[in-house]
Amino acid sequence: MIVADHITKTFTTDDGSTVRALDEVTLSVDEGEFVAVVGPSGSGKSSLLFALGGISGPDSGKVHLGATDVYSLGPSRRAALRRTEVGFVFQTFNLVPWLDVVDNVAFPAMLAGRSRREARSLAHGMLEKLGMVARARHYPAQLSVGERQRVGIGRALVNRPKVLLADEPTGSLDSANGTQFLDLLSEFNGQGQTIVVVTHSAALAERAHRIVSIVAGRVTDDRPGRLRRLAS
Amino acid sequence: MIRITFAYLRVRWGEYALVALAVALIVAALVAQRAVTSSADGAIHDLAHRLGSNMLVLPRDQDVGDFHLQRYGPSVLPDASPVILKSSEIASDIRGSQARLYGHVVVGGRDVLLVGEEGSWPRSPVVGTAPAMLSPSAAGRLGFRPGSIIELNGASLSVAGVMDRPPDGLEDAILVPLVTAQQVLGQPGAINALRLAGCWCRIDVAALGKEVERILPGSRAITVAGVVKAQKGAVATMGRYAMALLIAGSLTVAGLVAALVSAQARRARRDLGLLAAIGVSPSVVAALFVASAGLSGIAGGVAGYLTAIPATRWLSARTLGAAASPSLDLFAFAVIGAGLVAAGAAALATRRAVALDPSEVLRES
Repeated sequence: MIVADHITKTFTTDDGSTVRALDEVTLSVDEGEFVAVVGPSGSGKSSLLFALGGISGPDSGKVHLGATDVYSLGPSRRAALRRTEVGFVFQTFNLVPWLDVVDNVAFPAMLAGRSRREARSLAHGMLEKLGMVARARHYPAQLSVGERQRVGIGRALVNRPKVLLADEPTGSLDSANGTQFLDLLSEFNGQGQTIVVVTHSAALAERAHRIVSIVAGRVTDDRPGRLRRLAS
Repeated sequence: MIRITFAYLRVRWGEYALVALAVALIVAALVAQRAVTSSADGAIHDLAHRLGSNMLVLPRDQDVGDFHLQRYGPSVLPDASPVILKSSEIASDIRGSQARLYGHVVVGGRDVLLVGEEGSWPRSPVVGTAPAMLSPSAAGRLGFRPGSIIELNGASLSVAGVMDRPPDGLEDAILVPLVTAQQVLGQPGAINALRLAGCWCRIDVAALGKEVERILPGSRAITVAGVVKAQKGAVATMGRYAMALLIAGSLTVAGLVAALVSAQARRARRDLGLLAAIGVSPSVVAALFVASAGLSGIAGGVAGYLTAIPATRWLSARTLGAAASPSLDLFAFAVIGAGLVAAGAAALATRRAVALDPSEVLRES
């Protein structure tokens, strides 16, 4: 489904020094898998996620999503791939502040070429699944953090992407909202959704099929999570 | 896209409204200036058409500007000047003449212009008095009506009538026979203006003016063609400044919009990064800014044109003496021009925004 093949990514910091965020990382995620990427701050987890999602290309190595070499595409085609094949969920939700809930969820569908009516219908369906229909006409600033994250996941999944990428999705949520969100992720995964989550949360990681550990830009461990252990 | 643009404008309306206001002020100034220039050009054409090939002969020492402001100096010409010209070698070029003596008198403590004119006059309503015709303004201001007697410096005038439409520039004047004016103003045998009408389209008017000045020593011949030429030159200069003003205005609009969009792009880095992350293509991000700026430019253009209508009326009434309005062509120019300049500036300023690496800003959040 999604393969990172020996990807390396370096950054130049403000003081001019070079930081190797990813160092020859190779990772393969199968269809329907739920993978948690864990590691200390600055270990390269988010860089890996952005590289997998077609947001930020590696300096070397390749990323394949299905049969597509993601970084061989131009900016516009890569943007098209992001809006149709990949869904992103962020720690700080990153909802579009000037759109209401239904339009936030419908936005990627409209970008993908669906009519506004069709996109909003899809968004309503998604909001129903998320229990957010009553908040459809509200703006992000009027929502609780848990509600914002639910809208974020709705937006990420409205185009039925091949893979859902989440960057610290429970980092801004309290325990109750975090648990609810994990239940939601598990539910979507149970329906066949491929999920890659970057997290510090042990509880979240334990819900995954696999837990991949990264330290200093290198994969140091790749072990089954609780789901897989239970299955086996 | 349209809905997204309007949603974006709804949030950023304050900034875009300020831009639209600035655009409106610049467009209003440009449109009003252009409309007044255009009306001035039209007015000169009208004037030239109306006056044809008349020539104004004044005493050499009389300042032309002062003459038009009804300030008359002591210099005069002999009232025989028309006869002298008609008996000269250029008589065949002169179709008609009108000699006048202008001066100011005080009637009932009020200053009023007295104009003595050759020609046929109505009979005086009161025996032993000279006839006088009053402009409506003078009649109203001085409290005279037909039959009223006016005593002026030992001369008795009686009001023969009030003119419906007084001649150009004599909106507040008393017109009397030339000899009466000479008596009242104490300048017997004198005139201080002579209008000549002729058909001299086939000859050199400037050369004819020189001939008039030679035949009437102490005179200065002013051709309407010369005045019109000078005025056209002034209008052409205004036109050139209008182009400079147009360029300066366009650059100001472009600069304002570019500054706004750049500032927004810097401030909205996180939003832009997010939009890019969820699959908004660079061209759509650019289109969002360009469409928003273009719409505010169009709004500014419409508001500017609407503001220019009363401004043009006010300006033209004061500079041309008649209220003019900007043409509909200028509406299209204002709206399309402002929209294009604003959108173009936004397109330039958006380049950095669309080149943004979303991972940089998503990492910051």
